[in-house]
Amino acid sequence: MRRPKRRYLIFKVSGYLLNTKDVSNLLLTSLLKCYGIKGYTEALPHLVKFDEAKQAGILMCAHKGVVLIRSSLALTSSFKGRRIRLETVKVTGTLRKALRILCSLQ
Amino acid sequence: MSRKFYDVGLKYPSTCDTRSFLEEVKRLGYKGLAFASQASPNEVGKIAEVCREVGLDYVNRLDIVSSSASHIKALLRRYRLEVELIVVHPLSVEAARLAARDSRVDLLNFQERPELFEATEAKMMAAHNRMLEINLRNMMLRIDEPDYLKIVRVYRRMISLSQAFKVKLVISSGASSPLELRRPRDLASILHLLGFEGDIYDPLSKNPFMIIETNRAKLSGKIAMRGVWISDNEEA
Repeated sequence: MRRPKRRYLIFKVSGYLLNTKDVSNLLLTSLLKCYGIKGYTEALPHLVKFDEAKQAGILMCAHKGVVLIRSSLALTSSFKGRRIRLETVKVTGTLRKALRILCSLQ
Repeated sequence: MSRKFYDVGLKYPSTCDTRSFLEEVKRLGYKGLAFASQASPNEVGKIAEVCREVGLDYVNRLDIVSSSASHIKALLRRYRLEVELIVVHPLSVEAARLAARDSRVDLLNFQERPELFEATEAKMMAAHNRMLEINLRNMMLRIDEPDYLKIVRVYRRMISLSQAFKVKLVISSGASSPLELRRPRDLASILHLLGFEGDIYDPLSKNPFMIIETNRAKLSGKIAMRGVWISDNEEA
């Protein structure tokens, strides 16, 4: 049996300094709010890495869930009453490439 | 070939510097933009100049908000040869139907009175190749408000009706500050949540570009009459 295809989303946070736990909660809450448990099982997101200095990270998901994750990130507009933005910088097929892009981010 | 993304429904930045706002638009991957709100001619000239310096394509847009068909006609007569994009926000059935069949109108926006967008209007828009503009600002920024589900319902209804009658869509962010802006592919992915079927990137790239390109050709005299384009090539 073939392993399900994965995608790695490199994302960036602007407007507020978040820690790994905040980001993880924010992503999960946003996905559940927009698509519910069905959407969660379709996307199966997992926060691989979050660089608190760069405020950027890598999120792994199923390849069919990329658009779900993208839209839930786009719909996240505030955190603790402050305006924030979560943007998808790039989508890759391998973790190695994702890490390379994350390292090159300023 | 990479896509050219246009956000044709931005708002003038009220709190931040215009240049930093425009640089952020460019950084996020847009090729061009248009502002939906009103501004004085001096301000428009200044913004167009900054856009040129930053490397963005500035589209001159006019918004007509009216309930009177005769008022809309008068404004169309006055401004059609000056602006590149005309958007009508109808406030009555009469105005909506006039805008749906008048060839001088490019886009219709029913955000002010969503209940006016019915099957009849959608059918007329499809028959006359008018496009529907959907501004996703409320969808993005009012997610924590109690009436959010009502907002989602309105958007979903508009999209399903437009898809049923094959009315083309143009989406915009309505952003007025850098943090309200979204990357084009992120913005387009919201359409997936609203039940849009088809290429989600067309409403942000192909559809606005088609209108802008045609209108610029018309204004520069490259279109002699409907369907007749004057070729640049002298040998042809």
